[in-house]
Amino acid sequence: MIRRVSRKCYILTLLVCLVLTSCSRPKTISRSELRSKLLAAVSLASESELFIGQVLEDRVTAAFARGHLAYLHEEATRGAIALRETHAGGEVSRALETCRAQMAALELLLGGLTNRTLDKYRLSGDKEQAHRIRMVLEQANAQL
Amino acid sequence: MKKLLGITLGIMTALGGFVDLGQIVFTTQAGALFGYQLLWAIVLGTIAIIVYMEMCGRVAVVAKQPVFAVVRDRLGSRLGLGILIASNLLNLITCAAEIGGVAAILHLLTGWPEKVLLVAGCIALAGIIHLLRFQWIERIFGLSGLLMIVFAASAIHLHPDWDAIGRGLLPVLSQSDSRHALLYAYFAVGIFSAMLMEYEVHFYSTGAIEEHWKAQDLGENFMVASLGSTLGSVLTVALMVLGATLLLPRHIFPQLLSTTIVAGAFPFGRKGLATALLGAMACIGGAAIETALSGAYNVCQFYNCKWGKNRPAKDVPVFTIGWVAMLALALVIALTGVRPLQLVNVSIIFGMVVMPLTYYPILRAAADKELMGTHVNTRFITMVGAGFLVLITAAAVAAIPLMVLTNFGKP
Repeated sequence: MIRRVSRKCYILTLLVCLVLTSCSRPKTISRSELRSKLLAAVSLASESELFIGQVLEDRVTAAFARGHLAYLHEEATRGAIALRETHAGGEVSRALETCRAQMAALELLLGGLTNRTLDKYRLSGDKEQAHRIRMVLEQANAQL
Repeated sequence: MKKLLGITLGIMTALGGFVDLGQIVFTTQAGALFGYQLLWAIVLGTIAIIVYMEMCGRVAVVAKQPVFAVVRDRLGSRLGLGILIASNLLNLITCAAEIGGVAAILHLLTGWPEKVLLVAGCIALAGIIHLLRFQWIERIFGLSGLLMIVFAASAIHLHPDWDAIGRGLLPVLSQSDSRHALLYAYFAVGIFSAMLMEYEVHFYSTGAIEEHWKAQDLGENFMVASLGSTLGSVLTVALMVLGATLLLPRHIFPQLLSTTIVAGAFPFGRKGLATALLGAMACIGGAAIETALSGAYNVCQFYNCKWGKNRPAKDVPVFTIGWVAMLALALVIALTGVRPLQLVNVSIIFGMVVMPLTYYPILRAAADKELMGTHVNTRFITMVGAGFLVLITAAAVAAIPLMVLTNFGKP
């Protein structure tokens, strides 16, 4: 009975190790999955650009601006982390690199924005940067 | 005159309380992905909810039986218990999502920490449930929800393509690739489910008993179910139009409640924003209360315990503990940090799976001449109800596979 219990424990431990090691390997992304991530990144960049415009035109309150920008930043952080843990091979790898770089840039941009919603001069530059990020991502998506 | 006022109030309350977090986000997402191509799902969902809501109200008035008593009597205790557990789990998830939505809106209004507002908002909702009578809870949230009309005003202001809106009344897929088709089907099921959420009919039928409706109020039942739902669906269409006109051209897929608020206030600046936030808070807060109370009503009605919002709390201990527990558990779920929209996706899809088991007993009860007497369904209504039940069942079978294949509707 002790031998049976030990064997069961051994098999269970082996299974748990297999599951954990498979989880910890970087995920290999397919073309369609990368397209989905690119679309999500384009959406976030586009929304950031639109919303910064709203802030510039004074169409939102300061509390709303800070809150919504913080939510957008959280989304960008989640996206950036997921991309860092992703791996791609072949012709998809260049598009993944682009997506990773632009999402990191967007995360940085949005992270700084919550503290300068009243600085109209810098916000104009931020809107331009969000626009550039979006254009690069759309191009990468079109080429995929 | 008093009767007319009562009917008008009922319609306005139903209109204001028609949308919740799931409908707000799902419909805007559908518009942002497919333009107006899923408009037919809103129309279908509206007709279905009118038919079944009217039946629920009629069964509650004539047979003096709320939905869960009907479910238990028609399907038996064992299956009924399974449906009770499933429905209340869904109510709990939906309640957690809605109080998360309320906290998010309060945070956007005030800038105060969101976790503090989660707790404060939950306590405020509990206080409202405890202190106010049923009718006043309905009226306050229903009528405040009328502020959502700003979404409709924004949609019109953005000059939608009315020809395309007309074409959206027929199910047509513009692209043939399989991913697009799967997403289209997912959102069709999601919109349909969001419009037919079980807690809405549970709450409506219980409300008819709470407000002591009699046979002479069946006219009001019909007016509230039909006109209230029709006007409410106009708001839902407005959400789709906002997605189609503002978000789709910019390739924005809304993943946040605040994105839909921005869309709802887009042409109107700060005043529009405040109106949109308050309107959404009323709808979402109202839904949080409805789901908490529905959970308690379901348990009491299934087990024949005393229940009633208008009765002193100590006279209905199981009911009181029930809604307090629902709110408390929902708060715990929300405090774990899980995003409200993730919860809403789960509740909408799994709600669809359970739906046939809620609506089938309602149809059977409403068509039972022995139970309903002269107020039994006409043959036409029974056929329409049965037709929708077939659609609901088909959507229920497709819901989970579509959720898996589309990864919760990610484009």
